[in-house]
Amino acid sequence: MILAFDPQQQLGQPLVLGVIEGSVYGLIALGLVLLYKSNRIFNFAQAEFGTIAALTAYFGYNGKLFGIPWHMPWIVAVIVGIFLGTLSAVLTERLVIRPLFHQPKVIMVVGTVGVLLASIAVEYLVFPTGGVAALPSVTDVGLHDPAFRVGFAGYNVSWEQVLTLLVLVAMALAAVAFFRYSRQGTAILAVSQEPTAAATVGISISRVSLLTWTLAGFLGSVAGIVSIGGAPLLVPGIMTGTALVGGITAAVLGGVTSMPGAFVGGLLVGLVHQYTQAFLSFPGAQNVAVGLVLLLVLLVFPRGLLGSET
Amino acid sequence: MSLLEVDGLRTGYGALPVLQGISFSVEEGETAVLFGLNGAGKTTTVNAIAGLLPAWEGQVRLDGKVISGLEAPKVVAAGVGLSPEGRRVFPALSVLTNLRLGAWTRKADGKKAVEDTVEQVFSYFPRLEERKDQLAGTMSGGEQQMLAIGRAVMSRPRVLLIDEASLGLSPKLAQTVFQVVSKINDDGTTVLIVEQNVGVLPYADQALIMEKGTLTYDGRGAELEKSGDLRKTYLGTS
Ligand SMILES: Nc1ncnc2c1ncn2[C@@H]1O[C@H](COP(=O)(O)OP(=O)(O)OP(=O)(O)O)[C@@H](O)[C@H]1O
Ligand SMILES: [Mg+2]
Repeated sequence: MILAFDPQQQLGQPLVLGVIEGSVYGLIALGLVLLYKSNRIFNFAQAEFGTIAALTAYFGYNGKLFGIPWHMPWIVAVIVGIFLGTLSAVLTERLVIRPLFHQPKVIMVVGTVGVLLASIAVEYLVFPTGGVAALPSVTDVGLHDPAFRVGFAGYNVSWEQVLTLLVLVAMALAAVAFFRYSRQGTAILAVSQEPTAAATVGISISRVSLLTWTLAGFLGSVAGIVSIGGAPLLVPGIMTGTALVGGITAAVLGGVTSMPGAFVGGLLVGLVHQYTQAFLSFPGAQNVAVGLVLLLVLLVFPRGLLGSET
Repeated sequence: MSLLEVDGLRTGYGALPVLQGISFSVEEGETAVLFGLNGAGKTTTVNAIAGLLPAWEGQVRLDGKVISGLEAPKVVAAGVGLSPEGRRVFPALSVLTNLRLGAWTRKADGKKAVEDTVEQVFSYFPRLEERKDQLAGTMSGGEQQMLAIGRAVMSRPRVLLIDEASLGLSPKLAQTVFQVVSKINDDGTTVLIVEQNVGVLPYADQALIMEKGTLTYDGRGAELEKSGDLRKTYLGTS
């Protein structure tokens, strides 16, 4: 059903929510692309690093973590969450990817599926979430108040949303700067483009692999933290359930090997989701719309929006 | 003592042996050329020296120090640079970034020293300076070859290994590349170059010929032309 026109509901709100939701997909997609470039695999556990970060942060702030009621300040809880999410990526590299380095890629991919399933199992053991629904946000510290109105549509943006957007913009800029200007960033690009040549100039492939997984884990963790504010349900496997498909779609839209493309693809998926939801009320409309956009983009740009190695 | 010593080197892929225990050495300051038919094991030899392939038996020594058993990054740091077969430049990075990556192991030398070496490479290959901001993958095959050699020079190696410098180059460009390699050699770098093109012979102090994983000739470059071994290897006649 097509909904009646309301600028606040249908222009301003979807814009803000779409950018935030899209950034989550973009961050997941960035991690996926990064690992695709360096290992030539899709990491099915990518979004789940985010669940680990989100659950850790939530229970560090609000509940018991490892049986102890920490009552961490939310900023500390967020940092601890990102740390554990990143750590799980590091462990994945050490325990699963490294031993499978010289195996066929498909075995490595299966390895990441194993990591995903194992993570969910561990989450059920560590986080007592039975029946918990609609948890408040970790960043719910008086930041929910509207900050200002989006000019053209009269939508009220909360401070939490402003903060989230600032963090996302800063992350995107930092990622660009890292790959363009830093020594380690250039090394990752070199290994992804020509591993043999990278070894001949003296770059350690295994160290770059560890660094890549660390970064991917960090990106996935931030995505998890950003999305818990709006998550209706915080349960094991939540990020894989809600954001992995969006992340993969974003990565494909962007051309699979392009990092800026991944982020742009994420924004596109988020905006299409939100605007479809604002205008069409039948269930599943957003997913159909995203599928259509994906199809259209690939028809016009078969290699994705920015389908070159950048 | 020779600068580079290969001593009873045996290696291969998986369980398949390729090098059957080869031994040779290269004197400091000289240029050695390694000839051989396709599949003889030339690439296997230089890759093993560069640490890309582990030695099963035998040793590689640089200035008396054992470098076989080290990983490739350590071998570069020890002073062996490789311009690998098939060029293998970093296609989506600029020429300048490719060159700077060549100096990866020289972090301690500082930016200034690295930029000096960039200038030196540009003096060897002025074409690279003209194209320094171009993405390496968009350059011609000949230009990519120059870049691959230049990138190997960036580590300021004591021994420069070049695998197939002239492959796919016009005879004229091949000669230009050989002349530059000879200049790099004159500037103090010992060179081991894999070649199929006999046009390199005038620049060779030492010549080696491989057949099926063994060395069949090891002598002075000037003598090889007279001996007829090269003709025998490549044309099957004597
Ligand atoms: N990665 C590999 N796996 C298995 N066998 C290999 C591999 N690389 C080379 N070989 C085999 O090792 C032998 C020697 O190969 P190598 O590349 O060293 O020869 P080459 O002398 O460099 O030949 P070319 O002149 O064609 O470059 C060949 O029989 C080749 O098939
Ligand atoms: Mg070869």
